[in-house]
Amino acid sequence: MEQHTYTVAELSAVVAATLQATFVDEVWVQGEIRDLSRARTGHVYFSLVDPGTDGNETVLPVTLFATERFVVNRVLMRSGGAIRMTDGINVRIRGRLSLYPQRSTVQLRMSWIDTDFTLGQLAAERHALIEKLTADGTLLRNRDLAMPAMPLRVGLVTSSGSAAHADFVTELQRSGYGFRVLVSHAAVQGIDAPGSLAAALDRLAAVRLDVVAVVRGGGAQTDLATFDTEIVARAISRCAVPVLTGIGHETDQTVADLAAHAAHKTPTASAQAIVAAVRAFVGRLDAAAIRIQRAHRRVVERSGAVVEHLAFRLRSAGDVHLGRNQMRLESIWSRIGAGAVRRCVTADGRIIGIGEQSMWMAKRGLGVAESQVDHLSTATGAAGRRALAHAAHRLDVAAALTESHDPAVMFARGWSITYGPGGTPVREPGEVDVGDRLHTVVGGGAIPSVVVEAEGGP
Amino acid sequence: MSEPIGYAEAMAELEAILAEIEADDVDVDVLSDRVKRAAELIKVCRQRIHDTRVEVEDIVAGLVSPEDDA
Repeated sequence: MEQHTYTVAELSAVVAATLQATFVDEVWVQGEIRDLSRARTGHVYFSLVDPGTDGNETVLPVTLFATERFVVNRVLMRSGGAIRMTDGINVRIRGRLSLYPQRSTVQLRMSWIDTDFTLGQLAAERHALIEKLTADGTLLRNRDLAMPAMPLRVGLVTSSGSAAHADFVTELQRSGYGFRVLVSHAAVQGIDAPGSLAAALDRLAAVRLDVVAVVRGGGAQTDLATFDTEIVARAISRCAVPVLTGIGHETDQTVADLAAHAAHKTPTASAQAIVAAVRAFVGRLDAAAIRIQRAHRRVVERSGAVVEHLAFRLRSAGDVHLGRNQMRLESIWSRIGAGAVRRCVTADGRIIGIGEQSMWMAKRGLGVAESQVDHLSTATGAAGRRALAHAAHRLDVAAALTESHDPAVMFARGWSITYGPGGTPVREPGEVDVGDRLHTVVGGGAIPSVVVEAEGGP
Repeated sequence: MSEPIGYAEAMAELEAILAEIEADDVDVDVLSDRVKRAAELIKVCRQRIHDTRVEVEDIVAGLVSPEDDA
């Protein structure tokens, strides 16, 4: 019996009926999203791919019509916006198998997504990667770099022109510091994003920078899958300068965050960290300036005090010398005075001339000594002290000189003085006549006498 | 971009000067020299921080368009 020959339409209808009979209900299927496109009509088309074990991929076309897309979006939203359907992510989805009659291909009409599956898968992959990168030291290399004192030259890896880019640069501008920002563009989502990010980081290696920032605006966690890749973590680890991340997420850190020098939640926060580093340096500069001013002032004040103290000591030394000499002068003075008074008492006033003469001589000595002392009192330093000693010696000489003219001393040595009838001192024999009454003063008192013979000059 | 003196080096030198001039036995003449040097370092660093505006330069330009979640 000749076998039945189907028309294409008949065969397609039979296959469709068989599919319907076999898969009465919707089916769950898992795979990696590939070639996702969004039509203007609101429908989404992509391939669900099973990479296979030997490189032989198996591909199932998936259609998400606008009506179901609305539902799926709500499911995704319920997961906290953590997942975004995009190329490269693994999903577990539900839908109805059907045959697309125009091509006679089996396709899945998607109606639901298992967000826990994708999140769990991401977490497991991430965990395995972290273990691997920890073991080979990749996660520590950038972390161990020292942050430069003044990170003014900044490399920025981001999607050029994005909000993250703007936020980051705005924050630096607000600081008022003279940053220089070199932007290296990278795709931060999609299947090519990891390679694009790694290449953008590597491009900056040719430029002399202080710090690199990798930033991205807020978004779904599946977009963060880019930052959970080995290629990005290794590119960060290769950077010669500290890398700061600002990837815009609230949940666990990405592998890129772990490989970076420091992780911040947002682009703005990472820019603030860089500004803070510069501000800290400026603060240290300001503090140093204040400390230098204080130290300078303190030393100048202390030096002034030392000079004052020296001057005080010099003045004190001068005063002591001055005091001693003054006492010596006063002693001479009083002795002169005492001598003169004694003469006054014994000679009934006529001896006052001698006292006056002695006083004049003493005064002259005193005047010289006083002018020397005055001079000394203004002098400072060793020269001053020497001059002071010299002056003291001169005072001693003056005192001795004064003493030698003291009438009391002269009389004690046997000298005497004789007054004529007019009360004036007799200086030569021709000044007296025979019969004149004379009055002779000696050390012990006065001797009255009468001239019995005049002899003329010696 | 030229860098006549490293900021870390400048700060290290400033700290050393501070340690010296904050000591009790600093000589007044030495102090004068050190203060002059410190003022110079501070001035150079401050100029570099404040005298330029933020410059932004792209080494690779490109844009990505925003997309929906699903």
